[in-house]
Amino acid sequence: MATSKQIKDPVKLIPTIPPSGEFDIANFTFERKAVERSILLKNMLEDLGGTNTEIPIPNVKGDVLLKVMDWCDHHMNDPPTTGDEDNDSRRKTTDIEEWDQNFLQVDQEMLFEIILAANYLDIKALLDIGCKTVANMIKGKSPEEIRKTFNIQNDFTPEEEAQIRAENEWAEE
Amino acid sequence: MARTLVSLPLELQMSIVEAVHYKDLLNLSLSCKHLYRLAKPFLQEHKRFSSIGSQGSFSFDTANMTKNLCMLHPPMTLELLSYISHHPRFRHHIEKLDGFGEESDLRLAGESTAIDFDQMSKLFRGCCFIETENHEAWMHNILARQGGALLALLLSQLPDLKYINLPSQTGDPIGPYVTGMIFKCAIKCDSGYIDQPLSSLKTVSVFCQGGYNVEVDGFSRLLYDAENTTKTLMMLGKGHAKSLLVFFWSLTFLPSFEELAITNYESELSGYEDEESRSSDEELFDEAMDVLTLGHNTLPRNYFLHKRSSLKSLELTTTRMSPPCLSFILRNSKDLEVFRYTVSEDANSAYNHVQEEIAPIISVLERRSRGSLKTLHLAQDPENYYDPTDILFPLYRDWDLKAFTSLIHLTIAFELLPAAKVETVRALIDILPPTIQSVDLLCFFFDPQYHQDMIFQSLSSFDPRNFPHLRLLSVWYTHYELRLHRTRSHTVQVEQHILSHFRKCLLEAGFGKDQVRDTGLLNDDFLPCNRIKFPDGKRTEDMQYTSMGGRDRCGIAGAEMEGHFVMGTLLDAFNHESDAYEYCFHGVAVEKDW
Repeated sequence: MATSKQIKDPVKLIPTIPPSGEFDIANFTFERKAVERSILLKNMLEDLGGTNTEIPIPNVKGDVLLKVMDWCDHHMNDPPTTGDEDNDSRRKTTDIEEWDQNFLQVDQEMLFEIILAANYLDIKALLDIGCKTVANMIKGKSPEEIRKTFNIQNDFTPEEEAQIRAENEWAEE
Repeated sequence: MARTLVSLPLELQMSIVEAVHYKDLLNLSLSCKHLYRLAKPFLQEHKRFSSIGSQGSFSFDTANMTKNLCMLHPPMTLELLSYISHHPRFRHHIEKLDGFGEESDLRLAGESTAIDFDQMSKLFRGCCFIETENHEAWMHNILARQGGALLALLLSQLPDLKYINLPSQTGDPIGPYVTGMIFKCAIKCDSGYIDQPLSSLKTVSVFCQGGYNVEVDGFSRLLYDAENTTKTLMMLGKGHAKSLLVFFWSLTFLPSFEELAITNYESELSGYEDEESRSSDEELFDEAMDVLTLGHNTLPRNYFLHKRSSLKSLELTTTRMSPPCLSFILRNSKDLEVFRYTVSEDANSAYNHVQEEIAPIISVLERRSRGSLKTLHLAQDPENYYDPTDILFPLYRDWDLKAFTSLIHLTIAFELLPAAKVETVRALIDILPPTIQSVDLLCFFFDPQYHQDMIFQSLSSFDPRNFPHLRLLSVWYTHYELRLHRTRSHTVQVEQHILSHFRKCLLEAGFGKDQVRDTGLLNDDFLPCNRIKFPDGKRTEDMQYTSMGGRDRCGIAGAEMEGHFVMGTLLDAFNHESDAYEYCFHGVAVEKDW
């Protein structure tokens, strides 16, 4: 966990939805560099000036925030994203490194929560690998398997299904 | 409420659908109407992409020659890059790069636009292997067409690429850029990254056009004339051969890489002439690093010396690779299953003899792959063939295949059998391992009758009972030579001769006269490949490699079919009904009770 290390430049994040179980605010103190992986929080810190190092986080559950900050902590020394990169640069992160793969080996609900949090906190790289991980869960699966995986109701009639297949023959191997 | 895929905000669902591989889009669409609506624009986009190129295959050029020569070759690589930079999702549609394509597929699609500096920078930024501080050097080398930078940039964009068909010209088409890129990808894949560029690459075939010690093609001649000295050409050729070798070597580190086919290549790293001073892997590693113009410490030495080669199939056609180089490529290999070697007589060398190349190669294979090799193919290039009667066998180099514990299929040209003199060919039977299942003996002589005694000498004292797994032994005369003697009487004569030899073999092995029966003239229908039953109950994959002599088409006769062991040959025979020549099997069979 992030807290096990000596923190040089601490920033405290206060989740308004505390995590389940015992809540220790000490666990929510992070290295500024890690917090700045989030463009949202980075801008906030800039706006607040150097002295204030407590930020309330309204939209992210405590345990999701811990998980996300775990990722930020691991990646705090990655080259920074400038934030104004053109949209195509997002395409480059099709690769997921091993640490991230293990990091994202969580249940589906947590995965979607991470994606939501990454989106809210504006952590592009995490959002990308989150989406890619979901895409990888779809890889090679049949429609029925996809429905089962994501708990989706089939609302196609057999005729509609046949029509879509016919329209997209090119895509079938 | 529990979070599900379809309860996410729409923009996030879009981001996910966007990240789905195009091959999965249809199945995703079919899961429910909502996702179909989200996936539809992407489906349509990919449909358009799929119509470009031919089934995932695209032309490219190494675009690496001097500028005036480049005029002859349309800058297809640039067009491809330009298209990718405009349509980033298009890159997943590129599965094969074919350097022999002539027209740009994209130009036909009418959508290509010129690539400019901005797009090039965008591609650099999108590639995690090109560090920001190197962008300038890359740009310079791409514009100057040097060091393979352009091809390297293309490769760095293609995560789904499976095949490369690479023509290689004298000069420097691979260069440090491509090889360096491959190494970077390999290291990344190895440290657990998935979906890397080149991580799907499975097959590479390289055809060396012109070059050192190969007949001078148009391009090299141009250089030759301009410089008016052979030395320049030689120098170019040598550096080129080295850089190619390092390229081959680098490929074996990629995670999905399996098949390498090389034509017309001659290795130039040290250690070929003198067996005593054979280079070690370490020395070759140092030479390789020099070629890459990287410092010795740039790549983790131990990693590269000890990581297993991923090669499963290696095909060398009219290619001379020195044993240390071969050994280097096969380092720690536990997976090599197929080795195909087609030699050709070197017209330039009075001393060289094709037979001599075999023993050192077998010894390398024995050291590196004796437990995994399943298919071994040793043949002569029919285009550049020599007649063994013209050759004095200068040195007798003994070898056999008994150490290969997995070998099931051997194809061998008769002249490549270990031999002291033409008259004393070592029997084929003496070199076979007990695991062997099928043997094809190639005898492409100009005068079949003259050589038949020798062929059957190589089969002498053959007892199929010593090879419990052997299903088929066949002798081949290619259509190539038979074309010269296509008269019915001749064919029949050969066939009678063969039958009597086969019968003699089996009789000498102790079978009774009444046990040996002719299988007669069988037609194609009777011999489909898929009727062959191998002990493991399935048609083994490597059978597809037995294309020599049309075996794929004609099939082979399996003893399992009728409980017989069969030995025979496939020959052209004239069919009066269809008024055409057809392949027919001629052989003898004995009931298999062992």
